[in-house]
Amino acid sequence: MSEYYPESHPVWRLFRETPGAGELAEAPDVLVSEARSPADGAVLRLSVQVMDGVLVQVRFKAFGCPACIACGAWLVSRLEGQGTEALAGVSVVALAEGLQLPATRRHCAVLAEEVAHDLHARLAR
Amino acid sequence: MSSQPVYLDHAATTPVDPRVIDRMQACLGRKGVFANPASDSHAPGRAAAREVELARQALAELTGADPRELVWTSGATEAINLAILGGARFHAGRGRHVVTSAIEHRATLDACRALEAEGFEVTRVDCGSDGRVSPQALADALRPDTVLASVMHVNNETGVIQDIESIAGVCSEAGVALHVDAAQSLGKLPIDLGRLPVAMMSFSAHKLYGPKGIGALFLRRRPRARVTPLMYGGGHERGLRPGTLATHQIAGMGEACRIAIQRLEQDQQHLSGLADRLWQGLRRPGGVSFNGDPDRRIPGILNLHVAGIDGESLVAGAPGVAFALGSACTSASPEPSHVLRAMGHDEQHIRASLRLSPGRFTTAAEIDVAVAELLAEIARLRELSPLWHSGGEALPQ
Repeated sequence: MSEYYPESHPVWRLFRETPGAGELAEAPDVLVSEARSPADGAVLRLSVQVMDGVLVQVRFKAFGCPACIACGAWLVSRLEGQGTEALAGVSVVALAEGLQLPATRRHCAVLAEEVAHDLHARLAR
Repeated sequence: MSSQPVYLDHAATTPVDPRVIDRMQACLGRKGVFANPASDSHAPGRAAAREVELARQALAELTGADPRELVWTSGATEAINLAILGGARFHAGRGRHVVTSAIEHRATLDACRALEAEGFEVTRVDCGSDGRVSPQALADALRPDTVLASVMHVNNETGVIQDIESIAGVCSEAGVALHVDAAQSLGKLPIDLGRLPVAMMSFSAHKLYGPKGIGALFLRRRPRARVTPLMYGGGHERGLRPGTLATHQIAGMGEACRIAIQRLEQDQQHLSGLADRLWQGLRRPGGVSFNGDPDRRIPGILNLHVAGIDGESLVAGAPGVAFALGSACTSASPEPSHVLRAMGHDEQHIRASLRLSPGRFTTAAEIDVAVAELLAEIARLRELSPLWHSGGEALPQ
């Protein structure tokens, strides 16, 4: 079932404008994480470049519904320029509230939380 | 972009032809043919009955049926229910097994499920990856206690045409009554019920530039197709479908049939041209393919897989084009298309599939507008997609 988002909805704005879309070129200081939803096949990929404990560049790619794409853009807007601890702070609840996600789209927030926490765990090693 | 989206969802429903609207309006007002067609004691009632019978004749002419073999219903869904539930219940003393296919419309699948709750057994024959049901597979599913088979003529999601002639032959040979859901084929493919040995066939007006809320069931007279009514009260339609006849709806369906008789070939040529224009336009960036046999489908329905994109995002990102993801009739449910799934496609393939269905009033200029908007959004979504290489190849999924 398609969701309809009015133009003022945060999902709609991020879906249309997709700030932070793209991919970082492979480099020693670039990490990539990808999560896939078993429910609907949606895929979210996040690339981060880390320098001195700071996420200096963050980019996303997404295959999925508008909410999934908006979650990728939301991650970039919240993480770029922050310390790596910000990755651990990403939560389904924060995404669902920030993007006013319908209950049927919370699995998109789960993907975002998964990639963020995966990157955090790998950076902590 | 025009203020109205380019409407490419005629498989869901069509706009009512202006000539149909005129005919319907003539049945509504005080000076029109508004009387109850069952009121044969006065001239206005007889005029309404005449209008109903003229419409029945038009549908009969379009389908090669005898007018006495057509029963008005509220639409194809009711006609399908009357055929399946009514047919199986009537013959329950002879057997309690029904055969259908896995890719039928929900009206058929849900009616069959209701029969299972009554103790019938239902066999659902699979289709091939081309979306076609093999007559041999259907023949293999028939049993001595099979009393009914139901197969659609044209699939509402893929537009694929089933080999109804062969399936009817198989059923006829086995002595099993065959019901055909012709909601998507009426007025789009030639139908000759004088020649085709099916027992029952369901029709709808609103896929044919007629109004919603009216359809019909063909019930063969010889050999006689028998059904138990679903409703009681009044004896209308030979007791098979009681209730005051909706003259304006019936007159509208009749007019839609008259227009279809005149325009069948012209409409199909027009739709073939539009469908080809759509296909040639959308295939340009690569990674676009047909779902279902591209050579055995009606021209008015294109079900396409667009690698690397999600259909829901394409719908949202291309609001200037009105089209469907899978079947509009199942889109109220979050389940992916049961038709594409039966054809062997996985969740990701289904999510990247869309149905485009131009119509009689669609213009080539509108197709060009739609193609431009869809291509732009497909390019944007592919750029965003981790499943799409910039070189044009989809990544393994």
